[in-house]
Amino acid sequence: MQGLRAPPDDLSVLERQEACLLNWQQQGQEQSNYNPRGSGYCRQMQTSFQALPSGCGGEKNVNHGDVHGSIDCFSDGWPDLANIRYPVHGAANVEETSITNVSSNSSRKRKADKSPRSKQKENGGGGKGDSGCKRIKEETGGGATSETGQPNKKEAASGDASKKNDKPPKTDCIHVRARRGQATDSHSLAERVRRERISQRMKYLQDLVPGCSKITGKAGMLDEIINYVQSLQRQVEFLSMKLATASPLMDINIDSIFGREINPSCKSGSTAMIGMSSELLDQSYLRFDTLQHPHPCSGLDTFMDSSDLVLRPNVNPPVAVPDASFGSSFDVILRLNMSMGVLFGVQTCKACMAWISSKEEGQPSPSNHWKVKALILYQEHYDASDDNKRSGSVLPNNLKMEM
Amino acid sequence: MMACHFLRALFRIQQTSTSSSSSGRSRRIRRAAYASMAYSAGTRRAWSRALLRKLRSRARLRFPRRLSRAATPQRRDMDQAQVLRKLVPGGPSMDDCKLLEETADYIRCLTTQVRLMQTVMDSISS
Repeated sequence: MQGLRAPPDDLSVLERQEACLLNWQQQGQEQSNYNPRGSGYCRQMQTSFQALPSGCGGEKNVNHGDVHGSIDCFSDGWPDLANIRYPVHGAANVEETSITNVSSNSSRKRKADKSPRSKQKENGGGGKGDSGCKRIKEETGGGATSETGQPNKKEAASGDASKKNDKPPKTDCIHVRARRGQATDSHSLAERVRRERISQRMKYLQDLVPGCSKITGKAGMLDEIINYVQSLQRQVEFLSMKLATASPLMDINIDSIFGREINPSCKSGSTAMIGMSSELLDQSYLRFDTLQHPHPCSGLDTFMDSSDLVLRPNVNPPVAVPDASFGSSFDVILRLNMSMGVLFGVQTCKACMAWISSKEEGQPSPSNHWKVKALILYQEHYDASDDNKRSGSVLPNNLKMEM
Repeated sequence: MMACHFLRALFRIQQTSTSSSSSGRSRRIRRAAYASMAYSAGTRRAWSRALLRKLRSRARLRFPRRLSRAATPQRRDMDQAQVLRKLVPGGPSMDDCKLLEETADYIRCLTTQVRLMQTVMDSISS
C-alpha cells in the first residue's frame, strides 16, 4: 500500500516499484501456465483503478481502457491478490503520470492542430482518428516500458513530450499533417496541399454548375464543367446571332433606353425636371407600347394607379397626364425594370432601395406594397449575380431615369 | 456595369453596322458581349486579363466550336484539364488550381452575360 500513498513523481519509490514489478512479472511469467484465477483478480483491480485516476483530467476517460488493457495483459498470470496489489498499484501510478503527460501532449497537439484541421475539412475525421491512434500508440509504448521496467520512466516521458512539442510547430507552418503511414517529405506535403486545394475548387465548381452535385469523381465533374462552359459559350454565340437578326426593333429599344439615360435633365430631382422626365416617361411609354403589349389590369397596375393619385400632386403638376396613361407607363417601366432586372447588380438594388426609401415620404401606403414587390423581384434576379463588380455611379442615375 | 457596357456596344453596333451582313454583326455582338464581360470583371482575374489582351490586340476572338473528342468517356483528368484550358481564356498559362478558380469565375460571368442577353432578347421580341 506504499505505492498508493506515495506521490507518483517520487523517483526512488518508482524505482522500487519497478524492481518489484520486474520480480512479480517474472514470477507471473513462470506461473502463468497454471493459474486460471488471475483474470478474475484483474477485474477486481480494474474496478478499484477506475476510482483511482479520477483526479486527472477529462482526457483520462478515453484512456481507461488502455490502462486496463495493459494491466490486464501483465497481471493475467499473477498468483494471489495480496501480492498483486502492491506492484500493480505502483504500475498504475506510473501509468497515470505517463498518461497525464500524454494527455497534456495531446491537448497541446490539438491546439496546434486546430488551424490545419479547420482548413482541411474533409480530412477532419481522418485527422481525429489519426491523433487518437497516435495516442494509443504512445500509451502502448508507455505500457511496454513499464513492463520492461526502465527506471527513468518520467524522463523518458518528458523526452517524449519534448519531441512532441518540437513536432507541432513544424507541422503548423506547413499547415498540413501527415497521417500515419504517409510520407512527410516536403514534396509529398506540397502535393497534398495542392490536391486539397484542387478538391476545394472542385467543390466550389460543383455548387456553381447545375446538375453537377450528383456526379462523383473528378473526371465526370470536369466533363460536366467543360460541357457547361461550352454550352454557355454557344449560348452567347447564338444569342448574339439572334440579336443581330433582330436589329430594327432593338434600335428603338436602345434608342429609348439611352435617350433617357443620356438626358442630363433627369439627374437632378427638382419638380420641373421630374416633369420633364415624366414627359420622357410618356414618350417611352408610347415607344414601349409598340414593343410590349400593355398589361391589361394586374394588381400591380391598380396599385400603380392608386400610388399615382398620391404621387401626382407633388411630382407631376406641370404636365397634365391622364391617370391611366401615367399609371400604365409606370407599369411599363416597372415591367421594363423587371425584364432588365438581370442588368443591374446588387449595388443598384441597394441604390434602388435607398431611392425608394427616400421617395417614401412622398408616397405613404401604396408605395410600401410596391416597394415590397420590387424588392421581391430584385431579390429574385440578384441572387446569382452578386459577385460581379458594378459601378455605383452610373446605374443609380439610370434607375432614376427609369422610375 | 456589364449591362451598360454591353448595351452601349449594341447601340454602337446598331448605329454603325446597319449595312453589314448579319454574320459580321453577330460576330461583333459576340465580341461586345465578351468585352463587356471582361471589362466588368476588370483586371483582377486572369481570364479577363487574357480576354482584354486579346481584344486590345484586335485579334479575332476564336472559341472552339465543338470538341467531339471531349465527349468520349475514356479521357483522363489531364486531358480534360487540357480541354478546359482551351475553353477558358488565358487557360494555357495556368496551373490546375488557378485554372479551376478562373473557371468558376468565368462560369459566373458567362451565366450573367447569357441571362443579360436573354433578357434583352425577350424585351425585344415581346
